[in-house]
Amino acid sequence: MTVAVFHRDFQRTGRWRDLPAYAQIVRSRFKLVVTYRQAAFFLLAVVVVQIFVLREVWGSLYASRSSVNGLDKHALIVYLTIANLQGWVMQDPTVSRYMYERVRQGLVAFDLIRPVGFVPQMFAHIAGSALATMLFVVPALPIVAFVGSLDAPASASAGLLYLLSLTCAYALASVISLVLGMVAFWTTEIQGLTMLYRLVSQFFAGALVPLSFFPDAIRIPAEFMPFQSMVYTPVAIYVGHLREAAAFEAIGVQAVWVALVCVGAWAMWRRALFRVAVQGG
Amino acid sequence: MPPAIRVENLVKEFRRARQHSGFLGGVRTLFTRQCDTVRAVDGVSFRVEPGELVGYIGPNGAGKSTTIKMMTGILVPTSGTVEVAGVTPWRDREKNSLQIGVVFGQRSQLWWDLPLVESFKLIAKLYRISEPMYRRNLDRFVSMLEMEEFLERPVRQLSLGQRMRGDLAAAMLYEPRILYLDEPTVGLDAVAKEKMRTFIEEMNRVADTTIVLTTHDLADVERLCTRIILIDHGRVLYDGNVEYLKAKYAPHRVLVVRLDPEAAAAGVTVDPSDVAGAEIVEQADGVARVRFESARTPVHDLIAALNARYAIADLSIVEPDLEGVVRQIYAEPAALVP
Repeated sequence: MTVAVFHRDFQRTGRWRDLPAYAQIVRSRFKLVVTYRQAAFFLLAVVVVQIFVLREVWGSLYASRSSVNGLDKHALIVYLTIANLQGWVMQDPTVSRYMYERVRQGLVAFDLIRPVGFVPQMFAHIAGSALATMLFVVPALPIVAFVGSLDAPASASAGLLYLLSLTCAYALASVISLVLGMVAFWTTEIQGLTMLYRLVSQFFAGALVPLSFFPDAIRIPAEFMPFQSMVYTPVAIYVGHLREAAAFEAIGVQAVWVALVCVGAWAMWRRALFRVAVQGG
Repeated sequence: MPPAIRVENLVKEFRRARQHSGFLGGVRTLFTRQCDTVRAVDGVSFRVEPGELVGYIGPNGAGKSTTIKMMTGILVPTSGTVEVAGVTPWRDREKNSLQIGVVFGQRSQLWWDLPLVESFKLIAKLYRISEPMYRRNLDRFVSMLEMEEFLERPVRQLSLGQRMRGDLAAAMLYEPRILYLDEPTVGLDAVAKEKMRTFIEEMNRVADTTIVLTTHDLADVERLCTRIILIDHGRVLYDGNVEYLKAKYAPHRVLVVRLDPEAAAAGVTVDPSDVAGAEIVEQADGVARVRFESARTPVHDLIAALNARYAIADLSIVEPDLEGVVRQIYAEPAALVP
């Protein structure tokens, strides 16, 4: 057994030198989700059932009228279908659960001694997981269209604005997920918090009831929360409920929320780094 | 040459919420916020020179892992200095991370659900090592640690010994200058331990990696380290040569004298007056155990004296082991004068 003296040759410098590392995390995370595809199918089944139930409930509520608050029955079902499908991709608990488990088991130590930043690593996890989920979305579309209802965007410009708005929504959901995971650095335990978040965000995001249907007592506070930017805004643009100036304004609000949450996450992370208590001896 | 690691007056305090006991204790804990401050590391100082292999040992809760965590940069000390190859680990994380490798016996850096080789690929990318360097090191480690058969198997299906070999290879893949091993052999069988030790030895002797090893298995230390740092209650009790510690703290060796069976059958026993400067600690069935201090009583004198008077079938010498020394030190740390 012989070992030559090492010849260290670290490669790559410059701004993009860590890209291959992130790409590898994305690949590994993707593989992992595909390995555990039954879990993804199970979540998909939950979404399908939810869409079906919402369609039935709203269908009976609409029985006696043709339009409520400017949304007709068909547009509403399309809204609910897309909102829940989108929520399935966006409410991905991967990163908050990953961080929680890494902190709880003390494995976060390894993430912190990597030569690349912890936060970018987590975004790579999010990206890998999202890519894998997309893989399930396409085959799921016919089933979703069958239990709910799918339709083309209200117009070509609505479609483009939807994509822009969806990107903002996705960024917002990802950063919030990261913030939830970071809470584990303080509390070690975040499962109750993530459950609360899922319930509250789903409700105030308008995934069950479009925001414009809420009474003022709920709708006005909801306007000041980030959740509507995650579901209501993009989907309302898609179905043509938010148009032109209103759509641009809503996307502006989304952008502000993304910026605010990013600043919050950054401030939190700076403190978290000095709060690290790696569990176990 | 600057030291590989310099630790000075290192202190780490933890605050723990006080838990009240009893039936209503849990409720009280919920509403009161009393904290106890625990000093896990209490003024530790030492240096490690490049190429050294140092054993960092102490009982459970002595502060070993806490020190290691501060040296790796994942824990920020309450006060004191740590410099690893000139870098303060928790300030310059990136520079620090490229020069250190870490193995924690109790936890793994490998991706639990993916084939072992996937973790190696990820590490190669994270540490920006070139493809030829990756190939070369992987091939070398696979053959040294005999990983061929389980390289493609998901880590969750590996035995502890296999997983630890994987972890060791992962920590060395990017050729760090400094390697921290925190209980790398815990729970392994004799064969797996031996493979780990051989690899660690090679990395140190041949590849010139500076290694800090914490372990409860003192056979690891005896086999690998020339120097140990002994800590308890967050303080350094001893820092120096293993041989010196033994000589100082366990100066006694034991000469086992087996008398000729015929003589033994005739009821001959070794008389205490015949072993001047030594002590008979046990005598039964024709076997006498004679304890002596080699510094005071040369072993050949003892043997000559016994040979002159008795028919002897066999002689053997039992050396003190580190285990006994350390047990003694933990029992009465005040007695230790470094």
